[in-house]
Formats: sequence, structure tokens, C-alpha cells
Amino acid sequence: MSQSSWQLDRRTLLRGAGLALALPWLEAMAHAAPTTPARPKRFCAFFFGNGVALPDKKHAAFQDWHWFPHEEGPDYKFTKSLEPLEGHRSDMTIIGGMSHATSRGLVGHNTADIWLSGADIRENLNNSISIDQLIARHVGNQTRVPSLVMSSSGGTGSKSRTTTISFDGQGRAIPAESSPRAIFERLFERPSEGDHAARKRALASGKRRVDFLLDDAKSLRNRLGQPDQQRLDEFLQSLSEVESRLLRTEDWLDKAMPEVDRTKINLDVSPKGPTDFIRTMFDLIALAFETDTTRVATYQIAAEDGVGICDRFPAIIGLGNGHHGVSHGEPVPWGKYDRYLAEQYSYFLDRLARTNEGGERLLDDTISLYGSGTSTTHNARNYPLIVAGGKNLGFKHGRFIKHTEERSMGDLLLTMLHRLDIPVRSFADNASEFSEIVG
Amino acid sequence: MTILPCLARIRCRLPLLLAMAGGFLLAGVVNPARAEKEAIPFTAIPFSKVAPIFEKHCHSCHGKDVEKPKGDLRLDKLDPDFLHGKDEAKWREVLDRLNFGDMPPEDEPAMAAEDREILVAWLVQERRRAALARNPAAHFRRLTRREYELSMQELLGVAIPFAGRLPEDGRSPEGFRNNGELLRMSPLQYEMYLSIAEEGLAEAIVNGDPPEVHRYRIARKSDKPAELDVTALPKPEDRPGESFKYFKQEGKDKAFRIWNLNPPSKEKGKESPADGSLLPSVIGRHSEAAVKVPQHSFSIAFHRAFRKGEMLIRVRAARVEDKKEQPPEGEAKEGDQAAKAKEAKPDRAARIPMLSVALGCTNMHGAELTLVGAPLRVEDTEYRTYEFRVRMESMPLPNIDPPSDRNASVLSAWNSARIIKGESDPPRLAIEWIEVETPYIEIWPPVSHTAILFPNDKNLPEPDYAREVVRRFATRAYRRPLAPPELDRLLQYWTAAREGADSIEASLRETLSVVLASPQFLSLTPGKTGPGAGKRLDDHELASRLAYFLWSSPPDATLMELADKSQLHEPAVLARETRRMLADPKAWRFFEQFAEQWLELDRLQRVTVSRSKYPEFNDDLAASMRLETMHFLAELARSDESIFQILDSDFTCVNETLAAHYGIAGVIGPQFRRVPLEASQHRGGVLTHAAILTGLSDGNDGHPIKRGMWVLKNLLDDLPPPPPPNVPELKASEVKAKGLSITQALAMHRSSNACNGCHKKIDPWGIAFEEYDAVGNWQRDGLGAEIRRRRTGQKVESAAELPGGTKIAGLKDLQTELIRSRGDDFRRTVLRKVLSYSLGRALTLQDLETADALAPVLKERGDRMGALIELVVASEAFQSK
Repeated sequence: MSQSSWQLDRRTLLRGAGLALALPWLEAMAHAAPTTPARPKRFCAFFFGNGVALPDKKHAAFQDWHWFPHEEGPDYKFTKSLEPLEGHRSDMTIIGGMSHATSRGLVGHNTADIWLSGADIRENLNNSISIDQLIARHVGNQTRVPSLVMSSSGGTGSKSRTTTISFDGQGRAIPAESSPRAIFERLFERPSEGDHAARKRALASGKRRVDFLLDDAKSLRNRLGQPDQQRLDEFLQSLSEVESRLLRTEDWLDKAMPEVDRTKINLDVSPKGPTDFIRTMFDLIALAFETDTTRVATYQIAAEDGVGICDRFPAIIGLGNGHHGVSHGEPVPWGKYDRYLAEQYSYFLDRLARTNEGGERLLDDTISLYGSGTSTTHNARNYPLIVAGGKNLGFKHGRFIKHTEERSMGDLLLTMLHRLDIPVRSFADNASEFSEIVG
Repeated sequence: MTILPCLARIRCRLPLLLAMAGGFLLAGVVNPARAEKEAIPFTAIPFSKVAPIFEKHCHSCHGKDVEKPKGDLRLDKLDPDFLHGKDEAKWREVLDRLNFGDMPPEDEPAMAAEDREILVAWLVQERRRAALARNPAAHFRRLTRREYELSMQELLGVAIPFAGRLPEDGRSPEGFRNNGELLRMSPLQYEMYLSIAEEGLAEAIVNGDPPEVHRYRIARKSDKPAELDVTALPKPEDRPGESFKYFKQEGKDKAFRIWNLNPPSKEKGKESPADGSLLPSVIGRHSEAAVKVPQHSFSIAFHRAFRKGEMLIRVRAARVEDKKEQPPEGEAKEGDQAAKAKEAKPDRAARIPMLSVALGCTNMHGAELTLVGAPLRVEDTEYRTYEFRVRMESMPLPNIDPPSDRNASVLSAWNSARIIKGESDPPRLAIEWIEVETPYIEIWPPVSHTAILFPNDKNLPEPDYAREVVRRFATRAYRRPLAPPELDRLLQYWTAAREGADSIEASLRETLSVVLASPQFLSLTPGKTGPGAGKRLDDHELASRLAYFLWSSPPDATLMELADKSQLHEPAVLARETRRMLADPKAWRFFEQFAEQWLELDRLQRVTVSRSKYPEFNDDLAASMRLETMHFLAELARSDESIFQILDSDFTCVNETLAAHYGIAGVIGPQFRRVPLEASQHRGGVLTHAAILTGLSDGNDGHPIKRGMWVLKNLLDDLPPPPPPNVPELKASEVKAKGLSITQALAMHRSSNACNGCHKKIDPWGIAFEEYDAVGNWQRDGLGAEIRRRRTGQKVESAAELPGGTKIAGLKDLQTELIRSRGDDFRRTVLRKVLSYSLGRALTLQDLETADALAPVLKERGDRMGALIELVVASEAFQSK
């Protein structure tokens, strides 16, 4: 096969173009044969914008609708806001007083951008890689799909109000998928009914196409000035990633698709009916994990600051206002929305806890991060965070860990990375490990 | 009520105060003589003016003589060059502290208010300058979703919504979606382009025989109107495609189930007229992801999803003449609508039924429906056939196949004349039958096919034919002639593709799909730059820039021909072409997008209007509101009037729905038209457009801060900096407890030092809008005042003092004042916005200079809209790489 020679071409091209592309990684992905590793470890993260209701001590709703419990440690009591998670107490930890240090002074609406990256965006909005993509870089080649990036609104949104929480190695927003049906089809359905040979042919033609386009982009690049070249480089990088995906598909071609019972999932949903929609999105992640189709997933349940269709969720479920409006209003409807979201998250944890994999609960091999990047609206400190699952990875649960001094969220993310065997020394703005949660 | 959220809405990377910095910026890049000549009324603040203030007030704690400077901050060491220095973040902190009012601290000598203002103004000016200087002068940009879709449709000749599954494009801080900096590319997206190209070509270029066609006529049984008569129709002589061979409604051979989704109602209060005619109805709202089919409609559901191709819908319909005498006035119970209608004195005789058709599907909660084309007037009392055509790809379809009752296809036809509550003789519509034909094929192979695979009349050998097909297609796709080596490469590709393909059609589809996924098609490329290459766009590049600016689509044959002959750049030709393009219906795309993005009309969709406070508000009204502003700008261009009409005008553009909302008489039908305005109507200029007023409300009341910010940002390019972090909230509960009016609450808000600095510049502009409520009703007197009384007991307080001391009583004064004292700022703002949109980028320092230099010329030419566009097109920035 002439494959190796044109791969070399790609590499030469990329080097010539001066792209900061992690080639060893691409190479690894392109050539890694689907192998059966030890117990798969998974990571998923769920974000909602605009913070949570934290009524003042003097407020009548303080006792019932304060998202954070009133007691620290193992003997905390759930307020109404998080009560639906009661059944998962021993599988989760509530964390208070954590935030990304460089963003604490910013208007909190920026935090969907940096929740999983911890990038310093005080001077400009250049982001950096998010934790899920870093994990996918390392383990993405072991599954059919490297990672799932989903959100209720879909796409990327604009900088500072993204509708995705995942960012690639260059800090570019990764467009989130928002159609459950399309996600399902991409994950679990054969791309075509044609026979094996036809798929091989299609793949060959796909490779020929991408090959041509890379050359095309390269010759175009030579004609452009510097700022324009930088923009074209996104085309080049995207194309080479498409190419490596094709190679990976080739690797996966002989491996059977997972058997998924389509009737077990409700794909007949829309964000205009949020409950079913959110649950189906959760189901997709659970299915993808169960079938080991991917090990990394993010889902932005609700964007920051009234952006996108998800802003209407509270209005649709009868709380009288959009999400941003609710977050500027009285604590009770807001707390009710917190509770609503907790109910949905509880549904997901139920599902992972019920799924058995070789005698172990799927939940115990999965780190699940849930929360927001602001405590109350605009206030980018004291993120409401819940870490669940991952007992087999050493996570210890059952407590409300409250920091009175702000602690770097990078510490938590780094600890997660290490527990997932990702060999990095630091991540985001972390100063140390978050050892409390693993020991 | 929430007063502050608007502040949080401000994007982090703000376009800072252009107007403030304008003169300064010019001085920096233009020779001083020229800057002087243009007489920019703003003086830049030099660092030498602020340095002594910093020294006097700050250096005792943050200066060189301090052993341990407070907070480790040495102000004397900060680099005043924000762009090249490293201290911009620290300067931001200084700005926040000053805005907060907590520096200098209380135990130090107080800083004079003027000094504080100078410092703040300088900091804002420097931030703005640095931000502008950072904007890249790049021209390469990906096509927006809209541009991509229109380009694909033109190239392939099929009206498929190609961009449907592409992710939404980002919006620049200026609001524009065609800013190249935000038009990103990702692997997932590239894969989408690849598959869309393949699928599109499969629709455009066909193989083999025409597909089978479904042709049915559906009628209500006259004796049992709840049941349907379904007849399969024979293949017409003049059309290709065999008819679906058999049809049986029941039994095991049945083709599929078709049933009456909306049998005539007998429910009390909702009865259908006994003669089966249809009263005016609307698509109803449902709480969940669904709508309800119109109450009185001819709605069919069927167990078959036609997912692709065109559908022809023919409706046999007539107007039902009313023989009844009109009842005396005032007999019917009147709601707001009826009262307004009466106020507007509609011409009752002119009420005509409108035929609307929608396609969609049922779902768990109700239905999803999308209108097919525009409603048609049914004037004739004799039955006539009315036709609708639509691509099924753009319609909501059942998710599952075969569909079930809960998820079936729906076709609905109804009388969409506006509903007037209490109307005694509403226009009525009768429908005899509906025919559907799908896929609708006029000729075979379709025009899209022969337009690309032209008939090989000369019997060219296959490779020569392929070469010519590819050459013609790629020339249109790349919007320029191809160099021979480029064409050779594509032909090599075709040769390889031909080997594995069953037919020449398949091999050409594969080859053309590469063209449609090439960066040369997917993006606008400025061509060769650098030494040796000129700065000017060549004629083909100019044709593209012009076409995507005004049409959002590729150059047409005329433009291409002028470019081929290298004539387009000639000023007279260019001006003539610009005028021709503006007069073309495709220019609507410019007005639609420019109006929406510049004036933030999308805010309208984000506001949840309180249905209890404003029961007359509905989707139809919201859609009409949005269109008004677009039609208004288009009308200004069409009649080549002054851009100052944007600030205040003696006309607007309305349809029946909006006219009723405004209380304007004599407007019948859904199409928009120009209507003159009288002073008593309190309308004129975009500031009074319902879309703006509603979009800048919180759904319950007007929102003065949003409204004030909007004026500053979009009309004066004069946006204050974002609020300092963790600004104290103005508690809604506190406001309520004290029974404060909005105006009083704002005054309380401004009593905080942290807020006053900026809000004294924002609030007065917004307070003037208090004369209009959350859906744009004039609420000082008349019906609007009544609606207000029901909502609140508070008086309308719209008097304010603008920065500079001018006192205004309300919006009319504000408009007058804007034109009188801020006219130059407005003109510059419009020029900047149009230039930024035309270039598809945030303005650089140089672009800004270009835009501002056009201002005096535009003024000389009477500030006409046509001149504005022509000047931008003629500008060096527009014609340069």
C-alpha cells in the first residue's frame, strides 16, 4: 500500500506549514489497532450556566433552597435543591469554594469557556485544551469514537458565551452536537448498508478526496499573506484530522458495531421538551460508555447568560422565566430549577449505577463531574461542583468538602487526570493535587 | 425586574469607545493636517495629561518612593502602551478601582470628579486603541452558513437547505456573523461539508429513470365531513415519472393510511360553520415542543414520510360570500384587538380570506408545522386552483419510518386572514379538495442535471466532455477562471474516480464533490499577496466581495463577464453594478442580515414576553416586528433616502398584523408596504420599532438600561466599558418593597459610586424610551395607557438629562437631540458598521480611518442610503487585499 508514503507527505506538509500539531499523537491514533485494554476508565462532565440559588442567611428560602448543604463533612443534609441526589450520597462528593484562580475577577458569564480548561482569559479570550480533549488525546484511539461533545444548543456559540465546553489543542471551541438522533446514528449505526467491499471502496474514495483537498489547501496557502494563512491552517488541521479519522475508521472496519437496542432509547425528543431531551442526551452517554464506543463525553446542559434554546428550559417547565432571568430573580424558582437539574443528573447516575460491567458498576469506573462556573450569577467563585463515581479509580465519596479560602479547580482536574492515567504534571492553574477526594 | 443583567451581557472583548477615541486614532495614523481638516470633534487625552493626576493621588502608595507598594502595584512602572506593553491587565484593574470609587481610599485626599473622569476616559481610550490595533487585517474567511447555503443552491440548482446541520456561526462583538475571525473550521464541520456536497450532488445529478410519483386528491366527504375521499390520480401526459402503481386506503394492500386530522368541531364556542367554510385561524402554541393545527382547517395526516424532492400542492378554494347584514357597531364584546382595530377603522369590505398551507408532522405533544411559501389571497367566489411548491428537505418530517399516528406527516390548509376578536363577519374560505404530487418532476433529467451535465451535442469523447463539465462547474464554484494546472489536477482526480465508478455521472459527482469541499469554494480568498502582487483585488475577487456583500451569494453571469473583461474595477462600472445589485431582489439578503445583526433584532427571540400582561403578543406579531426593521432599511435604499430616517422618519413599513398593533388603518394582508406616519401615532425611526422596543424589554416592562446601551452601542458606537467584577446587585425585592418606579430605581442604582460612572452615561438614553412598553405600545395615552394601568399604577417617567446637560422629555426629544448634536457620530457609526460587514472583519485602525474619511463625502451626498453603499464599495479598503 502506498499509505505510508502519503502519510509522510502529510507530516512534511504540516511541518512545513509550521503547525503546532501533536503528530506523535495523530500517528498513535492512526495506527493503534483496536485492542482490549484493562478496565476502561471513563470521564464525563456536565455543565450548566448562571450558577445556583444561594439565598442570603436572612432570606426565608435560605434553609430550603441553598444549593450547598448547611453542614460540612459526611453528615450533611441535602437541601431541596439537591435532594433528588439523596440516593447517590455514597457515590458523590459536593465541593464548595473551588474556582479557576485567574477567572475569579471576571464577569462569571465567561466560565463555560474555561470551566474545563482553566485557561487564563483575562487579557484575551484565547482558550486552551479542555480536560476531556486532553484525555481523548491519550485514550481516544482505543475506542471507535475519541470523544463525545454535546450541548443542548449545539455548535460553538461565540467566545465568552460558548455553547460547548470542549476545546481542542489550539483552544478552539469544538462544535457540540445537539441532535440525539444524529448522535445515535453516528455512534451506533453502520454508515451504509453496503457490503464490506463497498465500504472499503468508499473509504478509499474518501481518502483520495481528503488527499486532494490537503494538496489543494496547501497550494492555496502559498498564495496567502500571513494572517490569512493562519486562518487557512484551521482548514488544513481539520482536514488532517478528517484524514486520521478515515484511517481510524479503516482500523475499525473489521470490528463489529456494538449491538444497541434502538427501542431502549427515546430519540423522538427536542430541546423544547427539556426533560426528555436532557435524559436522552444522558442515555446516549451511558450507551456510548456501556458499549465502549467512547470513554470521554461532555454535555453542556445549559449555556451561560441566556444564550441558546436552553435559556428557555425553566420557562418551558413552568418557572415563569428564562434561565438567565430566573438566575436574576427570587431564590425559590431558581432553586426549583437547581432541583430540576439535579433530578436529571440523578437519572444519569442511576443509570450508570445500574449498569453492570464484569461484576462492577459502570459508575465506579467513571468520573462524572457536574456543576457550574459561577456560584450565583456573575460571581465566578465558589463553583457549585459535584464529583460522582470513580470508586475504582480511588475516589472517596459521601462528604461535602467546603473550602472557605478559594481553591484552584485545576487541582481537582489534575487529580482526575492522574486517576485516569494521563501523564501530565500540571493542568490549568493548579498548584497541587486535590488529595481530599481520593484519600 | 432585573436591572443589571444587561451589564453581564456585554462581551468581554468590547469594541470600546470608538467615538471617543476617533480623533486620537486618526491623529496616530494619518498626517495631522488631514486629521485637522476633517475636524474630528473629539480630542484625545495624552498620557502627559493623566500622568500628573496619577502622581498626585496614587504614587504615595503605589509610587517609587514607597518601600513596599500597596498590593505590590507600582503605578509609575506600568507601561502606558497597552498594545506593546505587558500591563493592560493591571490597567484594567486600575479602571475597575476607579469605577468602583474605592481608590484612592477614604483616608487619603479625595480625587476631584473631573480628574477621575479624565483618568477613566484615558484608560477606556487606550483599551479601545489596543483592541483595534490587534484586529487582524485578514481577508481569508470561510463562507457563513447562509452564504454557503445560497452558494450551494445556486451552483447545484436545487433549493435544499444545505446548511441545516452546520453549526451556528459565531457573532463578533459588533454583532456580525460574517466576521472571519469567528468563522472557524473543525474536523467535524469539514466532514459535514464533505457529506453535504455528496448528498447535494446526488440530488442535482441523476442516473437512470425518473422515480415513481405519488399523486392523490383528497376531499372531505360532503355528507360526512369528518371523513375523507382519497383518489389516486393518473399520470398527466406532460410529466415524467410513473404514478405509484396501486392505491388502496384500507386492507392489506393499502398504500398508507390517510386521515382527517382536524374534523370539523362541534365543541361549544369552537363550532365550525355549518357550511364547512373556514374562519380565520392561526397555528396555536403548545406548551411543549409542539404547535396545534389551526382550529378551523383542512388538515390531513398520513403514514408516509416524503423526505426528498419537491412536492406540488394544489388547493381548490374559494371565498365564501357573506350575505348577512352587518350588526350595529359595538355589539360584539371587544378585546384590545378589537378596540385597536376600531381605533384604526379598518376597511371592512376589503377583508379577504388568505389561504395558507403548512407541512409537518405530528409528535408526542401536538404537531410541528412549517409554512409552505407565502399565504395567497383568495378573492374569487368561484372555486379556483391555488398552487404551492416546496422542497421536502426544508420541512419538518416524522422521525420514524413507517410513521405512526403519533408521528405522522401532516398537511394543513387554512384561512390565515387576521383574527379580529368580536368581528361579526369574518372572511371565510372554502376548500373543495387538496391534491399532492410528490416528488414533483417537471422534466427528466431535471434542469439541475442538464445545467451541470450539459447535453453532449458535439459528441465529445468522455475525457473531453468531463474536462468541460468540470471546468464550467469549478469556474463558478471558485468564482474565477481556473489555471490550466488546476484543471489538470481535477481531471487526474476524475480519471481515478472514473475507474471505480459505474457511470460517468457517478465519476463526475465524485469529482465535483471535491470542488464543493475545496477551501477555494468554502472560503473567500483574497488571492496572492505580498511583494510582487498588487494590493488591489483583481476583478474576480472584487466581484466575489461585492456579491457576498450585497447578495450573500456568488457573482452572477453579468459580474463574472465584467470581471473576465477586467472592467468591473472601473469606477463608473462598479457604481453602476452596485446600483443594479441593490435593485435586485437578492439585495434583500443584505438588508435582512445587516439589519438583524447590526440592530440586534435577534433579541426579540430571546425575550419571553408575558402573555398575561400582553395577551395580544404572539409568534405572528413577533415575526412581523422583526420584518419591519428589515423592510424599513430596504425601503430607505429603494427610495434612496437619508440614513437619518433611521433615527426619525415620517414613514414605516408594516403588514396587517403590525399595523393593527400600531393602530394604523387601512393595511390589509400579510405583505409589507410603506405607510406614512402622523405625529399622533408616535412612530418613526427604528427607535420606535416594536422589534427594538420589545427586544430591549424584559418581557414585562421596558428595560431602560438595555435600551440606553443599545443606543450607545449601535447608533453612536460609544459603548461604556464592562462593569467591574462582582458589581453589587440592585435587588429586585428592595425595589419592589420601596415601591420604586424604574426611573427611581435607576437613580438609586446610580447612587452607588461603582455604577454611577458608567450609568450616568447610559441611563438617560434609556429613560426616554419609558414612553413605550415591553411590546412597543405607546403608553402615555390612549389604549397603551390603559394596558399600562392594568399592569402598574405608576406614572410614565421619561424625562432625563443627557450627558452634556440637554434636558429631554421623552423619545421624540431624544430623536431630535440625536440628530441635532450626535449626527456626525451616527453617520460615522453607520459607515463603520457597513464597512465592517462588507469586509467581513472587525475594523482595523486603517479601516476605521477609511470609514471615518467617508463621512464628509456622505454628508455632501445628502446622507443617502445608496450613496452610503456606493462609497463603501468605492473605498480603498473594500477593494484591497
